[in-house]
Amino acid sequence: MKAYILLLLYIISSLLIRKEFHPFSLFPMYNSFINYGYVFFVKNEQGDILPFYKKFSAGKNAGYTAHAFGAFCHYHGYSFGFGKEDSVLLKQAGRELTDMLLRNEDFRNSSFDSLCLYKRYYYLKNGKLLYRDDLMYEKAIRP
Amino acid sequence: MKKLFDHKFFQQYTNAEWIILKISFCWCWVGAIGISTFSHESVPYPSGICSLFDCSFLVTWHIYYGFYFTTLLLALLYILEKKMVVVTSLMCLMSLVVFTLEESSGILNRNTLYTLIFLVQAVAYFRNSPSHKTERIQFPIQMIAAGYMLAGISKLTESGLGWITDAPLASIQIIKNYGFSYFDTGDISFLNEGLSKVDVLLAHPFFAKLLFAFTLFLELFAWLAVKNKLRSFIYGLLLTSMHIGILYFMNIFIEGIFYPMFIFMVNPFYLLYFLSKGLYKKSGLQLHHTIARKFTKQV
Repeated sequence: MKAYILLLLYIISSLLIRKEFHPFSLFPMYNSFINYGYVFFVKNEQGDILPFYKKFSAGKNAGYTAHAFGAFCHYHGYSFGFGKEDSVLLKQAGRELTDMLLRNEDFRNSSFDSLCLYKRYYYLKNGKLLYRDDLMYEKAIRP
Repeated sequence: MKKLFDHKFFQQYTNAEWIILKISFCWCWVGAIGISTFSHESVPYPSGICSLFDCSFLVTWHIYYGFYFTTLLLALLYILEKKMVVVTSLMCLMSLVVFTLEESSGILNRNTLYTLIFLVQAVAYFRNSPSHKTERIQFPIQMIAAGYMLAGISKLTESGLGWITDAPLASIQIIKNYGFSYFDTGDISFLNEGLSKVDVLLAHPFFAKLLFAFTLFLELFAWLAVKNKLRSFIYGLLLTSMHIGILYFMNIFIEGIFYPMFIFMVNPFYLLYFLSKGLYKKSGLQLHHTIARKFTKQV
């Protein structure tokens, strides 16, 4: 029992706290498989995909944007998932995520005039993988 | 086989092992701190200690460079084994602040184990018991095992056994993660690879359920790794195979969990050092003789 005392203490503490409060965590990664998955991406006004690694600073990527969307919804108490977010929520989240992505970026010399943030909603139906793209927010980067 | 397991490699932690472990772990920690500090520019979603007071004043490049310089200094002192109670406590504090800031930015890189490991190492050094040389490794292994167990408990409380029976739904997570790679790089081959993995999963649901059941079992029984070095080594190899499988099928790699586990349970660089030096010099010869004798008897 003595060999497990710290293990037990940490598990009990984390279960009692029941939320993410670093360094207490329930390690909830992929703890449920639900019938939706969101991927976020950016296109220009001509419909070309702007790869995060090539167009944005280090650290700003699709995973970061997905985490930020989840954090935004949790922080504001909005329920989300299964593609059910209304256009108001998508626009509000899209504006905030776009501002985060554009912070300290310089697109003045780029070949496009505006950025469009999209959410791709993946789901399974009748054993087939399907998806739907929703435009969240469009922002002009040049006047 | 018993002779092999009775070998000193599985019985005690040597000084060489501890030094190699420290350097490997510090390398990962310094990297994780670097990625965390320089990957965000704001803390819009305060969590942890940042939910208790406003941390945004810490998000400046001057402070971040100060954090990184202090991190390098602490890592050096840690490797040189200087003032370990103070150094490990400060490393724990540094991890707590930096990783909380990162989580408050909306990014979840799951670096919890770094903070916990330095915390329990500080406890081991503070206790200064005759067995502290074992405790400074065994205590972190307890924290790592606790992390895996909580992950398993979290799956059971959130999904129950549905986590196994719903395994085909993992195809959505697979395509999501390959989708991340596609939109990060613009390389369509990632998306195609993801779709082919999804096809495999949907075509073999029983195989998928079996793999998920094995994963859940490994997580829930991670306490088995704690008791002695042999167990932690074997369990470390099993967990490593699990992570490789997850990376191959789902394109998911959680560095903040994998690296501490791999270093404390398997200690790969020490294993290489041991195999190349120790095994072939002294004990290795005995081991070879033992195996050779056994083989001759069997023949």
